[in-house]
Amino acid sequence: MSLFSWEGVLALILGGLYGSLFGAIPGLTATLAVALFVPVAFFLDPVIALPAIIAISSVAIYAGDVGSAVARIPGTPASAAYVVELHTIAREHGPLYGLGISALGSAAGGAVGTGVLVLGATSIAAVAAQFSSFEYFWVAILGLTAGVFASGGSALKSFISLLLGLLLATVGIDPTLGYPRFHFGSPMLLGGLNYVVAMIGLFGFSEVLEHAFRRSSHSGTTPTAQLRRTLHQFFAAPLRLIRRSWTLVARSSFLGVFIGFLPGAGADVGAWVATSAQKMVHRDNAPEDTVLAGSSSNNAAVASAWIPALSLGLPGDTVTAMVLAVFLMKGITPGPLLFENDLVLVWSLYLTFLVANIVLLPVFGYLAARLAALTLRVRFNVLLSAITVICVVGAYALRNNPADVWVMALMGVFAFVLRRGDFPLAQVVLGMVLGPILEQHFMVSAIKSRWNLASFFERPVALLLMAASLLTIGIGLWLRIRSRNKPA
Amino acid sequence: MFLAGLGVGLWWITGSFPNLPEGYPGPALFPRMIGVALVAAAVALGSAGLRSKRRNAATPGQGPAWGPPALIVAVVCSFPVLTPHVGVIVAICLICLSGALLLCVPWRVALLVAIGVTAVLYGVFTVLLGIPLA
Repeated sequence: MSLFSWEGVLALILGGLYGSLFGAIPGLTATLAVALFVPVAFFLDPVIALPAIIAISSVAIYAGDVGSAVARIPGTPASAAYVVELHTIAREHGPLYGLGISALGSAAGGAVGTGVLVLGATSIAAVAAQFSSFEYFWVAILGLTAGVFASGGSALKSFISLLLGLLLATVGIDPTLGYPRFHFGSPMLLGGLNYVVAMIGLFGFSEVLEHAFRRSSHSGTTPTAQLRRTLHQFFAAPLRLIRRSWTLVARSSFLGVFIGFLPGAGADVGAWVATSAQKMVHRDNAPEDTVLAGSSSNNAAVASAWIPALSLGLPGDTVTAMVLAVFLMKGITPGPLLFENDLVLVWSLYLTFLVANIVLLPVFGYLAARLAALTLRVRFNVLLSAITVICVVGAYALRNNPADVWVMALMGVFAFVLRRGDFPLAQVVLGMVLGPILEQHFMVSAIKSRWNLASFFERPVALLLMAASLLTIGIGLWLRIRSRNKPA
Repeated sequence: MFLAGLGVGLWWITGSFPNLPEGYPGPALFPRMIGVALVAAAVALGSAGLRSKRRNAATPGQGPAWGPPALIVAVVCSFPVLTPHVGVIVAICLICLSGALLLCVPWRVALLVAIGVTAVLYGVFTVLLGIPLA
């Protein structure tokens, strides 16, 4: 059986459709989509099952942006990196344009990631294997420092949001020593706060509370003229933007590739670092550029997360961890021998990445964007009541745990209070995503060096990353002082 | 004040966390570092607030409407309580209906929206994706 048999093509199409549906619904993630597909994959030929997983994850990561555009609810932590910008574009120019930028940016990033996967899987994986806990610690510090200066508002308020996110990440069992913290006797909190539940509350439910508070009743309808020229809105205008900003797309994609192939980092961290870098360096950049940076880097990271998985047998993210389980179920051993013994499978994976990013993603992306555009024509308070119940179901459906709805509501109230004080919300998610990575690698490094903190500054790559973090702080402060001194 | 209190509270709560052998810091270290940073940030924010208060005149109140958001939170929080008695589907429908009424949607439209949204959610989650809402 080959990828180009009718079964193979059908698996790709159904995988893409399934992924777009999962990604677009708040509360359902690419990881959950793949997890539910694994039992089906067990009965399929690996040449069909693995490409279907690629189609699911590539399209689902993009579809996470649909919720951001329509309701300001990011489907994935990666989408949270540019949720405000995407929602603004969707409100001002229509969701087709915003989602077009996101889909074509994702396609471009995915193609770059695939190119790197094809050309340098083995050699790049060897570099990634050199990363120890010291380098991971500095990667997390780099992400956090860029995040503080990425916000358009006060750096101090961004820093406080980040601290609150880091604090939320400490709920549950300590990642290094296994000690339970801040669980208040609840077994559910022992596993920590779920990102997705927290994001639904932070971005979705707080939006409902904010509108109820301000008693706003703007229609939020999309002009009919914009809906008529859908192909232009979704394909032509974003393509022009990508052609104009090709250096940004290339830079963000390579950043995504670099972060994606670090085991455990993945698309979420990739999107955050790329958008933070873009916002920090170009303080008055257009929201379109931020969306382009985030979407291209997250799909580049999706592809590059397969580099350590295929060549070293190390999972780059949770999806590739499940893929490795499928490999083992099928009796395939990932690693250098895979490239000698099962070249047909390897090439069908490469081809699937190209097809998923260049064909499936724009097609399913367009369909999802048309649906999103129709949704925005509904009366705003009706849409808000639907968003309220989607927040409830999204939080509940993840684990069928009613108490998750309380966590979601609490996070919504917390975000509502932060919004009243002009504190950015995206930095809270950044803290939650990077907090466990930072703490775990700090503690592991400190324990293995017997608390000789000088060891954090001894390895060359760690030093390079530390210099990049200091440079980020320096540039961030300099840009802020310069913009403050600029005459109005 | 709240942030500074949170920072001090973190230091106090983590006092009961165990240390590693030989007295090295354990699971309390990271939350304590966050606590110290929160206190420092709160002091910086407070002094920045005082400076801007001196510069700017007090802004007039906006006439906030705290009632609707508080009621929406109460309705959403009732979901885990309602579910064992009426089931997930009816609870979803009731929450959607109450939410719509609180957001000033006319009752006939609210009823239609509640039934429609519940049907769509049931169709997508349970029928299409096979995720049981029970």
